[in-house]
Parts: sequence; C-alpha cells; structure tokens
Amino acid sequence: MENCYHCGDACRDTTIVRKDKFFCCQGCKMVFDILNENELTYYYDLESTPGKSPLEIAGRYDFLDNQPIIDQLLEFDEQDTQIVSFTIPHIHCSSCIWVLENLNKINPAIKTAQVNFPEKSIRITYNSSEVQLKELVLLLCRLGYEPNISLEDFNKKEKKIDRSLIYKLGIAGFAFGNIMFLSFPEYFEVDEFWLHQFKNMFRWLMFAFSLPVVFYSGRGYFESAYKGLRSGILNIDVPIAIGIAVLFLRSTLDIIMDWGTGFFDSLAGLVFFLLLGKFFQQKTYAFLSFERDYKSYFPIAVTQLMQEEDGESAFAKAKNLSTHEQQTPVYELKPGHRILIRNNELIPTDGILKEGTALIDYSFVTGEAVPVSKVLGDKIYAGGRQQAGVIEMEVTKAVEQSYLTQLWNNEVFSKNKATTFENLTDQISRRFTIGILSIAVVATIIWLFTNPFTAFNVFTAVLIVACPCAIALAAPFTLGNMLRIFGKHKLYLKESSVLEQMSHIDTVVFDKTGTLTTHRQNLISYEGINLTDEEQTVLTSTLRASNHPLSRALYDMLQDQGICTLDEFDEHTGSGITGSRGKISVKIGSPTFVGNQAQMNPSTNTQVHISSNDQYKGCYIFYNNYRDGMQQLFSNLNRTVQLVILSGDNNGEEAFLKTQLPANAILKFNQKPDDKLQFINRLQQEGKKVMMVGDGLNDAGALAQSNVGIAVSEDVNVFSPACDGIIDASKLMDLALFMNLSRRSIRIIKYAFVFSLFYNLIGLAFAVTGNLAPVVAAILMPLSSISIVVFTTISTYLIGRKITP
Amino acid sequence: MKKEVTQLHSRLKQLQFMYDQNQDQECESIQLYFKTEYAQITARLKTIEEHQSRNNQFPQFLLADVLQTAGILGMYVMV
Repeated sequence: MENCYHCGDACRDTTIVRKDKFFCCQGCKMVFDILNENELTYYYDLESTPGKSPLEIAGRYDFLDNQPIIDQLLEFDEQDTQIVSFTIPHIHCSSCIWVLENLNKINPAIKTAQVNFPEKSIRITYNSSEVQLKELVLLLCRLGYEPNISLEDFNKKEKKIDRSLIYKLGIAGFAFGNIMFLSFPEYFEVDEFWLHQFKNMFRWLMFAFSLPVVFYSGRGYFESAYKGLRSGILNIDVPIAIGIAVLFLRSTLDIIMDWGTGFFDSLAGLVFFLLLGKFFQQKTYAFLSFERDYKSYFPIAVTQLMQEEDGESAFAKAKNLSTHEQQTPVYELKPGHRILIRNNELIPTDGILKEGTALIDYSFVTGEAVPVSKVLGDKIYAGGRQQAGVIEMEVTKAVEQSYLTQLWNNEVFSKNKATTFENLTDQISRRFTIGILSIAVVATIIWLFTNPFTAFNVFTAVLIVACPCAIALAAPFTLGNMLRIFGKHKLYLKESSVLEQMSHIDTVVFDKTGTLTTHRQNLISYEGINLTDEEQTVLTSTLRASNHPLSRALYDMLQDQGICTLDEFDEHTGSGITGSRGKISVKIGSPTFVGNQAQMNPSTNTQVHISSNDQYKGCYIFYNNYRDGMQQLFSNLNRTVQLVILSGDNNGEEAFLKTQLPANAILKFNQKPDDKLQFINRLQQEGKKVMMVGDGLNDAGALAQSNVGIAVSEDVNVFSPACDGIIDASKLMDLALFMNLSRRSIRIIKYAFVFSLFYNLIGLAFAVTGNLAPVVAAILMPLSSISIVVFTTISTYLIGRKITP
Repeated sequence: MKKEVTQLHSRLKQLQFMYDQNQDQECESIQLYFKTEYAQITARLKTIEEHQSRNNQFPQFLLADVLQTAGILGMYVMV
C-alpha cells in the first residue's frame, strides 16, 4: 500500500496518482496542485509528508460574512490594511512555517504572514478590498491549515504582556552593578588622593541609584508585606520589606551624617537576587493554556434558520421548513431559535432535535468515545459533535445557561488556589520574623545599657543581616528548577506552588475513560460463530463504506481480510448498516437491527452485532484499552496515597479494575461532572489533600476543586480543560515518581533553609556584637544567596536524573 | 600658605591643560611625568589640608576649589 505524498497516511480507499506521486484523497492532491502551481513545492523538501488532508468545510465559515464578527476578530483595521491572528493546531514543522509565511505567493492580497511556532499561531496582514477574511480562512483550510476560531476569540481582550518583573530586575541589576563599583574604593580603602575627593559624590550617587531599587524594583515586597499584615499573615515579604526599609534608611542616615558609606550595595544586591529568584520561578509554556473553558472549543457563530415572513409557502409552514440561513453569534441565540448543525460541527447549546438524524459524539464532554444516537424530539446537550450529516435543532437554552456552561458558574472556577495555600516559605517566615525581631530587641536593650550609640547600629544591623534573602531564594530556585525538569519530562505545571501542593497530596482521584484508558486504540474481540471467508470479505467491504466511528474502528482491525465491490449498501442511521454481494447479505448494528435480541451479550461494553443472510452470527465487543503499566502505577501510588476511581461510565469494568487496584481503593461509577466535584469537596472537608487526574471537560469541575488538578492529554497542544498541570499521556505511568520528586524538592528546600540559617547566624554574630561593617554585609549577603542557588540547582539536577527520558 | 594654595591651584590648572593637549598620545614618559607631578602636588595638598584643619589660616572655599580640581585631574591621570 502506498503512502500519501502530502500527509503520509496509507492510501487505503483511494490512490490518486499525480506527477508520479501518490495521494490518499482529492484534498491532499488539491493542496499539492495549489503548491505546485505557485512554485511552493519546496514545502515537501523541508520535511517529508508535512501536510494534513483538508477537511470538509462547506458552510462552516459562513459566519465570516457577518461584519460584527469580522470586526471582533480583526486586530487592526484601517483602510487597506487589516491584521488578523489565528491559532492553527496543525502547525508542527519547518514546512508549515515556510508555506504559511509564503501565503502571499498564492494570494498577492496577503501582505505578510508571520508564524509564531511555539504558540502555533499565524498573524496575517492583508488588504480587505482584494481578499475577504472568509476567503483567507478558506485558503488556509484548502491548504490543510484549518484555523481554530472559537467563542474565546469573540470575547478576546487585548493581551497585555506583563514585563514589569523584567524591568524591575533590569533596574535592580543595573543599580547593583553601579553601586558595587562605587563602593569598592571605600571598601578596599584605596588610599588615592583623588578618590578621596569623590567620596561624597560617590555616596550620593549610590543613594540616587538605590532610589529606583527601593521604590520601583522593591515596591512589590512592601505591597505584599502590607497585604499580609493586614490579613494577619507574617509572610516572607514582611522580613524582606523590613530588611529593605532598614537598609535604605540606615544607609541614607550614614551618608547624611557622614558615618560611613552605608549598605546600598547590599540593598541593591538583595533586591536583585530576590527578583532573580522570582524571575526564575516564572516558567511559562507558550504552547499550553491552563485556563481553558468551554469558550475555547465552542464555535463563534452558528447557522440560524430564519422563517421568511412574506412569501412563505403553506407547504413550508406545514412542514415547518426554514427558508433562509443567517450566521448568528452563539451569544445571541435565544430559546426558540432554530439552528442548523452540519456534520462534524459542535453543538453550542442545549436544544431539541427537529430535523435529521443525530449521532452525537459526547467524548468532548464525557470522555465516552461511543457516539449516541438521537431521534426527533430528543434533547441534545451542548458540547456534543454531530457525526451523521446535517441536523436542525430548536434552542431551548441560551449558551450561558446550557448544561455544560452552567458548570463554569460554580464558584470553584473563580477561586484562586494559590491564594488559599500557605507555602513552606511563609510557614518558616512566620517563626523567622518573630525570632529576628526578638533578637534585635533583646540585643538593642543590652546595648542600651552598655553603649547607647551602638544600640541603634546593632538594632539596624540585626535587621539588615537577618534579611531572609537566602530563605526567600531557596523555594523559587528549587521549585523553578523542578518545574523545568518536570516540563522536560512532559508534566507541565502551571506554577511552582502546584509542585509544593503536590508534595502534600494524600488522595489521588482518577477519571477512567480517557485517563486510564486510551482513545487511540480500541481493544475489540469477537464472540460468536466463525464467519466464512466470503462473509468476512462482505463484512469488511460493508464496514469500509460506512463513516460511523465504530465501523471505522472495526474496519481498521479487519481491513487485511480483503475487500470486494458490493452489490448493495444501505445505512440505517441509529440502527446499523447492510451490505450484500452475490448470495451473501450481512447486517451490522444493534441486536434488534440484526434481528436477534435474545443473543444480546450481557456485557455492558459497546457491542456491534453481525448477521449473515438473517442468521445471527455473533458480536464484536469494544473494550476500553487501558494504558500499559496501570497496575504498577497504582501499586507505586498506593504506598503513599489513597486511590479513588471516579467514572462517568457504568460499572461494566468494575471487576477488571478491582484486579488492577489495591484492595483499599475506592471505585465509583455513573458519576456526573457535578458528582465528581462534590465528591472531591467532601474529601477535602475531611481534611484530605486531593489530586484529580482527568481528561475531559466533564472533569473540569473536579480538576478545579481539587488541590492539584492534572489533565491527561494525548496531545498537549490540542486539548486540556482548566487545570493546574498537563501531563502527556505517555508519561502518566510516571505520576508516582513525579509525586515522589515533589516531596524530595520540599526536602531540598528545608535543607536550604538550614543552610541559610547558618549564614544568618554568622551575620547575627557580627550584628549583635556591633561589628557589622558594610563590607561584611556586602560579602555575606550575596555569598549566602549564591551558595543557596548553587546548592538547590545541583540538588534538583541530581534528583531530576531519576526520571527516565 | 594662602599664596601656596593659589600657586598649587594654578599648577593643577596648567597640568590639566597640558593633559588635555596630550591626551591622544600614548607616550609613557608623558604619563609618568603627569603622575610624578600629580603625586608631588597632592602630597603638598595633604600637608596644607592638615594645617588648615588645625589653624584655619585662609577661607575654606579656596582649598575646596583646589581639592576639586585635584580630584578631577587625578581621575584623568591615575585611572
């Protein structure tokens, strides 16, 4: 069998030959022709088989005729220049970048096209008087680069990139370098006549450099400390803010009174290192989004069917036929509206089936892969994808009131987990701050009786040297490093606090379908009377002709049995298919359809029944295909956590799961999205720290409610509900190891705290005895920071090596 | 003493002028000459500074001007 020159798929059903090259479908051939006509075949030289078969898109982008929608999508619109950005999930290689950035060779109305590879997006500048936005999108679709235009784009606000931390870091670094440079002559007591003349100027310059450091770069610490104190929390920013304030005031006083050079270099160094820690802790994955909700997946507009007021025929009225179509933004849909859903389109809101045959794939919502048939008058819920032609439905609820979107109204989605979690640094900081303030007061009182002038110096010196720079750096560098190591091994965490929360987890809840099972391969077995070779050939050929997902899955398994040309083929939507050749006629579908309800297999798994010449033969049973290594994962996890399985499916696989799970594991079936959320809530009320591992939108509530929500994704670029982390499905079996490493990371932070406490004790020895010279602080403070950074980096590197690539 | 301060100031100005004239030449002898001359002037200035702090023989601003000029020239010559 030949492979397609464009997309690389096997040419199964059809093989089209064009210029000595094989193509699997007309779509792939058409893309080749377009590229060939425009001298863009270099596309195939950069990468082999880089393309994707263009999908059927008839009518899908008609909403781009709607001016308010166009206005909403355009980033810039002025005279002959329009700019628009699209996310294109298929962008994956250098060929994609090359062809997309050369779109202007295909259509000169496109001025420039720039691909953002990490974000899989393209920014196109074009002239709308020569090419319409819809034509532009259709061109992308024809090339196999279908843009993802969702409801999220309709509400998108201009993205503001917060670079303030970089500016703060830059300013602190610049000031730190200059102040250090200006401090050297005094530190090293350079006995140069001319330098001595500049002493005062240098001091005031240092003061000037320290102003933006304190009032701009360090402002966040004062704000955070103030907020913390106002809420009655002694967070780590309290001693830091005290340290910065005392350093600044004492140094300013030093130079005003000509007592010395002050501690401006220590001040700038402190802020610089602290901001460096913050910067290091910030790890973002441009290609991932941890905040997706239904808006990212819903269409921006749908085809609304409008009743013509005048001229409508009695027949149309009687048959309730619609007479013209209009593209309506989904937010404008109201109960009573009639909408048209085409094949493969997503249903944006709840409604009732009015025309056509519906076969709805709810895997997007429930994780259940088998599509559900609906008949006229049946209720259809939002989030399903129609898979059997065109249907008409009547809207019963507005988009924001549909069953699926209601889930997002739960307060759990507006809760910020990070703010409700007290991290290890803050816990230490509480005791540390009280301890340091006590030492400062006691030391000052003692000095007041012996040497009152030194008492002030001692008080400020204790607060300066005890500033918990090293403590504040231990967590950011350890967690930042681990975040990168986890990311390299395909567990992408939203922020470093998630890693810390992971270390406290004592209960892990798994969703079943899509999480423990994989959609990629079906496990299918046959139970019944063996089919003859002729029957098998007719069966395979009949399956080949059907587009039903179960038929496709069966055909994939049986295709080696050979095919023939059928004399007859018929599809009975919602029931099954029939095919015949010569004397053999097969029926494939439900037990009722094949004519033998009595033979129904008692298994709760999905079944496809077969009959030949009206004689029942048997059935193919579709089993969930569990991921390899599941039992080992459960066994590893069970050493430290309680395991729970929450499944939206029936309990058909309970017996099998019990063989895989430890005896104390909890199994719950028939769990709706809200049941999952409530179950986790109850566990938390019992004091459990819960990790939820799920995949579909049905898990979104549970993922948000849990202390740590991890979404499992077969392709991290394509789908993941709002969560705290995304794990590549191939790495799910390493979850126990990741959790173990998160606990070890916390141990590293604790060691680093002890290490930094050692530095603080040395500094305090200088401070309480009244011997803290600026040069001592200038050496001790950066030394402690750098050694903590080195210690945490080496330690995390060593423990990170335990993860196999 | 006051006269000596004025003379030292003139000498510093003169040296500064000479430095400006020769700053594009990387002649080691000239550099050495400036350093030697500068060291002599600053040694004398230190002595005057000490006297002045004890005796306050002339207005302070006079010495401050000279020290400022010496500081700037020092930065050119010594760095």
